[in-house]
Amino acid sequence: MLKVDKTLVFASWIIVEPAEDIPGVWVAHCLEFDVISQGENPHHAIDSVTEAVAMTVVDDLHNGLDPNERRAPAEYWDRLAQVLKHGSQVSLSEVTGDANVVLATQVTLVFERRLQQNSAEAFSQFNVPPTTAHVNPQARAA
Amino acid sequence: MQHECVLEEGGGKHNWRFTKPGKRPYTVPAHNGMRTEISWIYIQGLCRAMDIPITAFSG
Repeated sequence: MLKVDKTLVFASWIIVEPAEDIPGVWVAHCLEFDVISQGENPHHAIDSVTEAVAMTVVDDLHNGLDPNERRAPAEYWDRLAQVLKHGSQVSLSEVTGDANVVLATQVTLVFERRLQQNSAEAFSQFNVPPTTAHVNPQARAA
Repeated sequence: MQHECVLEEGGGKHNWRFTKPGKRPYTVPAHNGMRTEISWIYIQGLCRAMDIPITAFSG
């Protein structure tokens, strides 16, 4: 078994909200990497964006690029600040797919790098899923 | 307008990803194949990632 040569940890903020233009769809936006995905409910959207972020980060690492250079524009960070400031913290398990709210939560992604015999890099990845979220019913766009 | 942005195979639930010369790949949340509806927020993110003018998607 090849030894882990390097461990990279990324903690990423995610804003999750119902899509305004598609009924029944929730959109999740990871701000650190400006990666967006969607799902049938908040939990599905968070799972989806976590997978998309993992793929994105591995792509960048394989290409020798810094994934942190993908940050979302400032307006989205301002929005996160509003949700954190005015929202209340709840257990993610309490959040249902029919709530018309904006959520902010944080996922941690861990990447372990192994150098193979031919010097190629191989990354394995696991997540520390979020357990709580800040919920703000007032932050929905009109 | 040509943007040289192409769709390639991805992995996991994100079966597709956009690529463009000089840009980093961008995953597509297509959970229902080519029939997936993609939200405007996602389109905006794709345009940022690929340097595509958002007006390219306006009717």
